[in-house]
Amino acid sequence: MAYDASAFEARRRGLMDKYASVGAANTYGNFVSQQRGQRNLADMNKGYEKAQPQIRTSFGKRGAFTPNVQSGAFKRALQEFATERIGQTAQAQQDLAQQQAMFNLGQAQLGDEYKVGLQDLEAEKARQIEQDALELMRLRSGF
Amino acid sequence: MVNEANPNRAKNPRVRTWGGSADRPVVATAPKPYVPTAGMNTQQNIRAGEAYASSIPFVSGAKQRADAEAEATRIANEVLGGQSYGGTGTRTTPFQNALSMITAGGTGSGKATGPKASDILARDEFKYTKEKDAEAKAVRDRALQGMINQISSGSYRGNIDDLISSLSEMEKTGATNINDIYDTATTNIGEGYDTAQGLLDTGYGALQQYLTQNQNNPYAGLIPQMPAVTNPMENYLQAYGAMSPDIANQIQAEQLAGQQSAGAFQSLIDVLGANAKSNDLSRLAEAQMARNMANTGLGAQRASYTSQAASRQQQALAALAQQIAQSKFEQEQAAGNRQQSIIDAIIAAGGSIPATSNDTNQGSGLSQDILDQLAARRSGF
Repeated sequence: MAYDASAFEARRRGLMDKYASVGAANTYGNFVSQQRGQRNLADMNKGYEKAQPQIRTSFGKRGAFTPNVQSGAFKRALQEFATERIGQTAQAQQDLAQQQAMFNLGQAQLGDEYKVGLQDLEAEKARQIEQDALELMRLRSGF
Repeated sequence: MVNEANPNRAKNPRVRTWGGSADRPVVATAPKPYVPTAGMNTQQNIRAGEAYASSIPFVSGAKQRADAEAEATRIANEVLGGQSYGGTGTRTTPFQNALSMITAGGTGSGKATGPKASDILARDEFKYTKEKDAEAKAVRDRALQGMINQISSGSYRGNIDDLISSLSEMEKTGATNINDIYDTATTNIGEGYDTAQGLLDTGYGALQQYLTQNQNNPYAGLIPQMPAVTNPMENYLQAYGAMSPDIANQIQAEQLAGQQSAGAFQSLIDVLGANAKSNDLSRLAEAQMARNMANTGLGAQRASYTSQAASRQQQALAALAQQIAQSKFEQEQAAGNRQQSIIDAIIAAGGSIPATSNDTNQGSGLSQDILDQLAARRSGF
């Protein structure tokens, strides 16, 4: 088969199209996922913000909390609440960060696949040219 | 006498005129029938009747044979002068005259007085024979001398030397042509090699340039970023004096978990990045190796083609030399056969073999090796 630049160009376009379309779809999916995660995180913070005064109110009704009296049970409840909020918030944020990292990794792998595809194509071009060169020499030599 | 009643009867009395008239004359009559003769058998009468009907007299077979015998006797007597010739017995026929001359022997009166006819005839015959022999001998002598001249002068070779000379010229021309073809083939191989090598350099040069310029590591930009863990209730807890080491420990634990996650991710990126770099270097090395192999293969192909061209040249030259030698050999063989034929003819004619110019061996220009090879080919070995 003689070297046909148009065939190689068509394959290069195919690689590029795949890289672009898959990358765009991944990017959109990542955006939606991040948005959803941020909303969940915001909702979670709102829930904690709303629940926080209720602890004081609950202990106040039982007389365990006044401006001058702060019982140990009240303090422990606050500490447990804070600990849970810190843990849940941190885990939600880390989940979002890991999700973003995996998206970036996927994009990088897609780029690597695209790059390797182009390198394969260029190597194939060179080999085809080599075969054509040998054939040309054979014909030119009359054998 | 005219028959007035029937004029036709006067013309031919055999014509019957029943019913005839002036305007309707009778034009035919019936012949009289044959009357069988007594003394003849039935078959003789039938033949006689047929002869009568055709107006030819009947002659029997015995009569025909008797007539032929008489005619033969008459002719013989006329030629040989038999007793019945002339009825007098005089010998006057040419045959009798010649016979009398031969048998008389020239004696006696009234006979011939010169040499006898037989002597004259014999003498003339001898003279004629002698002249013919002399003429034939002269012809033979001339032919013999011609053959001797051919041997002594070498002209028996005819145009063979010219043919051999032409063959030598053909050999030179053919060898020149073969060498020209080889030179052209070598030139073509060299040009083909140069063109192919240019293509190889272009192809692999472009590949190496591409690989060199595209060594970017797709994982290089990836940095795992984990958000810092904070305490959103810090002020609130301090306001109520509820701060405790447990909260700080929780923050530290979450921070550590995030860092571990980022570290694992970084390890993954490092592996993938190193693999990508290794692939790039491997590809570059592969391209360089492929380029070297291609150039080596091209050189080997060039050497192979050049060798084949040289081999073909040698084969063509050998075939040409063989063909020319064969042709020369055949010409020399023909000359030798012709010479031997002439020598055989000279010997048969009683001549002496002259010192031949062939002793000088004008030759075919063939070496002994070639002659040996030809002899081997002819004998199948």
